[in-house]
Amino acid sequence: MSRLKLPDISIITGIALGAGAVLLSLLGNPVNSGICISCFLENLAGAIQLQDSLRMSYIRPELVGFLLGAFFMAKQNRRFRVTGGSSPLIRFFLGFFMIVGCGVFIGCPIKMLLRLGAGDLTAVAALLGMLFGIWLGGKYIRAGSVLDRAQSMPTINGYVLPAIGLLLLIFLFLKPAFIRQGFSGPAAQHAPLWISLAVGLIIGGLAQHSGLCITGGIRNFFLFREKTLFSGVVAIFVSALMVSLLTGQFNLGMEAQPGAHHSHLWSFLAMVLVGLAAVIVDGCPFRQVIKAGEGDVDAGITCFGMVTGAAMVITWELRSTSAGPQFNGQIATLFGLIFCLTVILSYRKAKRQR
Amino acid sequence: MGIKDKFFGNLLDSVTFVSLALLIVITAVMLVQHGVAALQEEGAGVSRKELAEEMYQKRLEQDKKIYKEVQRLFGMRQYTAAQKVLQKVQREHPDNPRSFIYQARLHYNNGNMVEAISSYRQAVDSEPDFVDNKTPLFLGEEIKDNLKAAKQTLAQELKSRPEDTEMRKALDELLYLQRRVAGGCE
Repeated sequence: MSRLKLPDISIITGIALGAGAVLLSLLGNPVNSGICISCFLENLAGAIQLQDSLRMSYIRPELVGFLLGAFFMAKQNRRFRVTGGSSPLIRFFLGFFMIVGCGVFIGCPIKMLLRLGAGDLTAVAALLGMLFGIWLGGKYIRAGSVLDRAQSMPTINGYVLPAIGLLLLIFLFLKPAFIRQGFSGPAAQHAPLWISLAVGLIIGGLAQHSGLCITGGIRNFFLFREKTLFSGVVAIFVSALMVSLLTGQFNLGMEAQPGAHHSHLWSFLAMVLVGLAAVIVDGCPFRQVIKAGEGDVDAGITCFGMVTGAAMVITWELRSTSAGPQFNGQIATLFGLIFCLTVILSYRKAKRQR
Repeated sequence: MGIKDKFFGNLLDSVTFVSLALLIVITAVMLVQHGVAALQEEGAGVSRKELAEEMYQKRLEQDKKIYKEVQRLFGMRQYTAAQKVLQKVQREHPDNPRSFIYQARLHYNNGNMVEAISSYRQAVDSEPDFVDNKTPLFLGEEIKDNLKAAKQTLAQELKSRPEDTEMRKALDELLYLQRRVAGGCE
């Protein structure tokens, strides 16, 4: 694998993600949601009883697979580097608001590409929103607004998240009484456990090796016209489109789209929030999970923020349903944008003062 | 430095190391015991999944009993009589969401599409399992077909009365129901 050049491995990762997600849908995962970090985190939050919707309670093996796949690959390639200590609370809340944005759109950036690949045109507004958010974030980076530099940390810090992943895997098999699993709704829609886990491990390993990130790929293209990761992002869309077409999952249009709504303004704003927060925190929700697996403690803190966000998205109704965005979700999106811009401004000010 | 020196360099480290090893072994044993007990319990008794299936079965049987007369009259196309019986059932079982399904079917067969859509919406909102193909309560195909036919009627009505807000609202609800029936992670 180390003989492959980075653009190649990035494209392979993209193909594995896009095609794997559609195949997982065919094997039982929710339609257009074969892989969705925000949905998976909402399910996880339910399983560990951080939110009480039984219909959305299941430890998704794919999520554990991403984390452990990244960990094993990083260890194998000696890229397990334990760093952290960069603005932990800010990262926690950026993680929180990223999931709020995903909840209001109904899907993370990966699911957005999957929805587009399946012909769901309601996701176009979200794509435009995310592009705008990333472009804006890029402008601020150019202007010097970046979070503090991470420091090297004792190795044990990097093992905490992979250990949690392992614990979740044990819970998944042993099914202790305090772990909940729904038998209807999205929780009941899942591919066979071993297949989900295998797909998760493979994609996790590939993503660690390639560094694939939806927002990072687009940001690099905007900032430096750098196409390495961007080609992987395009590969996700193209492979999802191809597999959707081949398997009869493709349904072009705005109507009768699963897990979608027609409030395009809120889809746009929600994904502006996700794009902007992801640029500040240096990676989309998927990338945060992968980075947490390779020893990045800051990404681990962001993951905790994302899990908290996933729980609150359900409990406080900070999300959308097929009927459209709920009021609390709209307010939380605006709060998220205010938070992001305040962070950016304060870091710019701090830099000028230095 | 040998392994012995590394791990047992001083007394405090030695005690910590031994304690840690003991804790790991005890935890592992407890977890395995718990897991084995849970598996045996699942094998001997009823699993959570079986309990859920049993619950669904009970509900289906109960609904069959409650709506027997409505269903019979509906089958004979005696919609006015079926409506009267349904109203009685609704008074006796106000929390049963299947009433909305029968109400929607009656409205649909009487050509009242706006009311039919509204009833389907109430049904799906109060019992999401009606559009969940993983449960025995699933009625998604029926709802999908009726929505398809209702959409054509609504579109024609809207052509002649484009300002009709009630009709527009009904169309919005219909589109919402179509998205719910399509699935997704909701």
